[in-house]
Amino acid sequence: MEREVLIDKLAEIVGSENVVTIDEALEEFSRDHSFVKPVKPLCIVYPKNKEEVKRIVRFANEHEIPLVPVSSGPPHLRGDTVPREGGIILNFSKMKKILKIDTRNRTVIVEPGVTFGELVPELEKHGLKLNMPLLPRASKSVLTSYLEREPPLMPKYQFDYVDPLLTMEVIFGTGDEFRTGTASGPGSLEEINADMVNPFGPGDVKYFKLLSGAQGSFGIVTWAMVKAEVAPKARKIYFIPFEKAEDTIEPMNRLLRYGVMGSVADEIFALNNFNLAVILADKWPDDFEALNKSLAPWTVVLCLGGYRRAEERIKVQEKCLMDIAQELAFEPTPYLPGAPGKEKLLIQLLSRPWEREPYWKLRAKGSCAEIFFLAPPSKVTQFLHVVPEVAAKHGCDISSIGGYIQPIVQGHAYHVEFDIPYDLSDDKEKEIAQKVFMEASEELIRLGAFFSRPYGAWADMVYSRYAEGTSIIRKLKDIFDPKHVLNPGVLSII
Amino acid sequence: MIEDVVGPENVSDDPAVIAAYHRTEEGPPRNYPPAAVVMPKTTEEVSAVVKICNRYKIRFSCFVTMQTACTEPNMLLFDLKRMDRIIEINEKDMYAIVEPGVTRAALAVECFKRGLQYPAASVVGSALVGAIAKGIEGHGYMANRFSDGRRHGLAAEWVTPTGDIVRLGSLGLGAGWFCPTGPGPGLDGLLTRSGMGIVTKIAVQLYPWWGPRELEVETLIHPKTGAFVYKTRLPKDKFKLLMFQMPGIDELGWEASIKNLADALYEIGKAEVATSVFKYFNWPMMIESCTTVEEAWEKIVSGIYQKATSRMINVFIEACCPEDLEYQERVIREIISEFNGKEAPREFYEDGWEQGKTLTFDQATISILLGISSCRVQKFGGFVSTACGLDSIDTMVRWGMAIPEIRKEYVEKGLITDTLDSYWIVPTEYGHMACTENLILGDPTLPESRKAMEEYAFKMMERNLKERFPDVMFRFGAYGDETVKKLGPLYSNFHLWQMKIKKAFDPNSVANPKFYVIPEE
Repeated sequence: MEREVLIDKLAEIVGSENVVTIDEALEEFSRDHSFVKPVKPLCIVYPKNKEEVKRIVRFANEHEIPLVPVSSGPPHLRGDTVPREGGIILNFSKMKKILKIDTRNRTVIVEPGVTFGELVPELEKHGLKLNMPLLPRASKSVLTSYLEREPPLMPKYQFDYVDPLLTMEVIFGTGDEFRTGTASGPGSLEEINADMVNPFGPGDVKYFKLLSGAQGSFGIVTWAMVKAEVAPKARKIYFIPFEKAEDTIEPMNRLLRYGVMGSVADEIFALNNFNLAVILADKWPDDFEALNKSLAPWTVVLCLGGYRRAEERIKVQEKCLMDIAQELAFEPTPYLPGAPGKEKLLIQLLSRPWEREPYWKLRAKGSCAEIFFLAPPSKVTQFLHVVPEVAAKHGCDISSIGGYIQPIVQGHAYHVEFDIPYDLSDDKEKEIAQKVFMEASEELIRLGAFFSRPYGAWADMVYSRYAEGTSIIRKLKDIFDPKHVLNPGVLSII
Repeated sequence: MIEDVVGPENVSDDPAVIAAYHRTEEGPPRNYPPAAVVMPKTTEEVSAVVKICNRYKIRFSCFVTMQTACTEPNMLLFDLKRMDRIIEINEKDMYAIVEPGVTRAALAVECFKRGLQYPAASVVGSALVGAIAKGIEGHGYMANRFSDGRRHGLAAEWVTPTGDIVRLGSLGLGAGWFCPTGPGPGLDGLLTRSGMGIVTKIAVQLYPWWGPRELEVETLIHPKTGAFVYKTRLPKDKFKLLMFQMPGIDELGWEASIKNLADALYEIGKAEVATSVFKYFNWPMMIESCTTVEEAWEKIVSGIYQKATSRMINVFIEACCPEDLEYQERVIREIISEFNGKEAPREFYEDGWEQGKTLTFDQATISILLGISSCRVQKFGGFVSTACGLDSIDTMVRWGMAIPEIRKEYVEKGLITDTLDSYWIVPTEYGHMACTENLILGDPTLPESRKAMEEYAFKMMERNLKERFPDVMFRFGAYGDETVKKLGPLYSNFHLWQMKIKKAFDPNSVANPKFYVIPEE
C-alpha cells in the first residue's frame, strides 16, 4: 500500500489531526538513547479510545504493517519504542483518562497515556500513593512501567514479580478484545458485579503474566488496574553509609526480614554517591560536584512509616532497626551522611516522579546507558564488580557511573542497575559507552545475572541462550498475533 | 514400554490398585478409574512416559494427593508420590525447591528448623507443588500477610504436554531458581493443572519465621471423649491468636452485620497488621474443637455455637519482637472497638477444649500454621462448597447476601443443617483482595439431603451468573463442555483462547484434555 493511501485510511479511523507525518516527528521516534539501530516509522497515530485501537490493529493485520505502541513521553532509553521494522507508531498520549480511583480497595484504573506526573497528585488527593519505581520521569506511562515489571521502591508490598499490576483490557494482535482476571466477565464491564481486582485467569491461564514483559508484542493494553497503597500519616527517613556496594546487601536482607509485618522499611534501596548526588543536586554542576565528593560511596536509604498509630509503629521499627544495626555493626542515622539538610528533600523526591528537566539519568551528560538485571540475595555481590571492571578496561571514569540496588518481592531478589552517562554528540564517548554496555552485559549474563527484561541488544544475548523458552514465546506470538504486526523484532525472536 | 522407563514395579493396571485411584473431589460427570497408574521417580522418567503417551495417543492425567483424577475412561494416571524430595531449602534466598510429592507439613517442619516458613493453604490435601502448579491450592489463612499459592511459585521445571523439559524463569538462563517470570513474557502464566503437562520441580517463596525451630507437640487425651488431641506452644510474646465477636446477625441483621464486619476488615488491611485475619466459617470452626463426629453433631443440634460464633473475626499475629506484637494487638483492638466488636470469651481459646468449648488456641494455631483443618472438616461428613473465587472484600460481601434466602427452604425442610454463618471471607494482600466460600452441611448418607446440597450449590451458581458475579477459576472437569461453551462468551471468550493455547502446546491432545477444554478438531 502506498504511504499516502495508508495515511488516508488511518485518518479515517482516528481523524487526520491524529496522524502525524512530519519528518521531524518521525525522526524523533526513529531513535532513542539506546544503541538500537534507528529506523524511521511511516507515521505516528494517536488513538483516542479502544475502538480506534481495535480498528487500527485490524487495519495493520489486513495490510501486514507493523505497529509499535508508545505510551510514555521522551526520553526513551531502552530501544523498545524504536520501530525495528518500520511501520506505524501507535502513540497513546491522547488516551490519558484516569478511569477510576477506588479508595476503599486501594486501586486505580488508568489508560496507557496516564503518566506518573498526572496520577501521583490525583492519588495524593485521595490519601493514596503508588508503589513507584525510583524517580520515574514525570512523562513515564504508569501502565507501561508496571506492565514492564519495573522495580518498585517498597518491596514489602510486592507479593510476586508482576505485583502491583492487577486486571487489564487488551486488544490482541488479532484485533480481538480481551479482559483479564475478574474484569473478564461475566458480561460487559458495566454488568460485572465485582471490583475487578483479581488478576488471575480467566480460566487456567494467567494472562496478566504472559502480557507482562512482552513489550507490546502480544497485545495492546488499553487500560490496567494497579494497586495503590494508603499514604502514611507519619514518615521518618534513615540513612546507612557504606564504603562498598557489597556491604549494603546483608543489612538490606535483614531489614526486610525483621520488623512489623516482616519489614522495617517501606521504601528501601541503595544508591552510590554519583546517583545520589545527581538526584539531590540543585545547581548543576556545582552542587553535584560537591555532593559527589561528600557523600559516602554507597548509602542505604530507608523510609519508616505508618498509617494507624503511626508514631508508635515508627518507634517499633526504629527499635528493630537498631537491633539489626547493633548486630551487624552499622550506623543508621536520620541525617544524610555527607549532605546533612537534604533529608526532607529526599523524602519529597521519593513521593513524586522526577519533574525537572532533564531526566535525572541524563543530567550528567545528556545520555545514559542503563545496565540492569536481577539476582537473588546470595548472588548479588558476585555481579557488582563487573560493570566497573569493564568500564575501567575501556578507560571509562568509573567514579562517573551511577549505581542503584533495589530489593524487590519482599527481599526475595534484587534489581541491580548501573547507569553509564555519555555525551551522545561525542562519537568516541558514545563508542566507549556502547562497548562497556555490550561487554559488561555479556559478562553478566555469562556469570548468571538474570536479564528478566531483555531490551534492545540484550534480546539477542538472552534469547539465543534460551531455546526452550523461545519456542514457547513463538507459539504464543502465533496465537495472539499471528500476522506478527505488534512490535515485530522487539524480542529479537518474533 | 512404560515399564522399561519406570520399572515394572512402578506401573500397575491391577483392578485393586485402579480402584484405589477412583476417587476425586471433582465429582461426576468426569470421574473415571484410570486404565493404569504410573509412578515415575524423575523428571526424565516423566518426560519419557509423556512422549510415549504422545506416540500412542494415550491420554494422561496427574494425581497429587486428592486432586484431579481421570476425566474420561482409559487414561493413564501419573501418581507423583515417589517424587517427594525437598531438593533444597535456600535460607539466604528464602526459597525451597520441591518435587510434586512434597507435603506442606514436611516442608513446614524443615523450614521452621531454618527460621523460615511456607505459608500454608487452608485446605486441599497436602502436596504442595501439584497444588501450586494446578492453581487450586486453596486460599491460605495467612493470605493477609503472605498472599496465597498463586503468588508463591518461583522458577520451575516443566514437562510440557509433548514431553519436552522446559526450565522456566531464571532457571531457563542458568540464573538459579529465584524468579518465575521472564526473560520477557511471564511464561509461568501457562503453568496450571495437568492439562498443560506436569511440573516436576518448583521453587516456592519462603518467609521469616520467628517461632521455635522445632514445634513441640504435646499429645493429650480429651477428658470427655478420650480422643487424642495435639497441642503446641508458641512464645506468647511473639504469637497471638485473637477472636472477636462483631455485632451479630441477631443484633444487626444479615446485611448490616456483614457490612460492619467488612468495614473492620478493610481497616485492618489498611493498617497493615496481622499475619492472618479472617471471618471464619462457623461450623468448621466448631469442628476444630471437637474430637468426634458425635460431639460435633451434639453441638450443632444444640444451636449454641451458631449463636456464639456469628460474625466472628479471627486474628493471628506473628511478631518479630514483643514490641511488634504489642503494637499490632493495640491497633487491632482499636479497630475492632471502633466497629463495636468485642473479644470472644476466654474459654473460646484458652484451653477451651478441656471444657468442650469452641476452639482452642493450640488447635487453631496448628491449623493456621500447617493448614490441616480440612482433615477434620472432611472427616466430619458431607458438605458442598459454593464460592465466588477471588475479588474484593466488598464483592464477597455482596455475593454472600443471597445465602439466607437460598438456604431457607432447605433448612426448613431439614435437608441441610442450620449453619447460617458458614461463610468465610479471607482478606489477602493487606485487604486488596479476598476470597469467600460457603459450606453447606448435610448428611451424604441420605439421598434427599445430598440432592438438597447439590441443588443449593447449583442455585448459587445460577445466581452468580444472573447477578454477574465473576468466578474465573473455572473447573472444566466438573462443568462439562456445554457449560463452558455457554460461559465462555460471557468471559471475554477465554475458552477460545484457552483452546488455541491447548492446541499449540498439546497437538495430540493427550494431557488431560477434558479437564482443560477439548481442543476443537
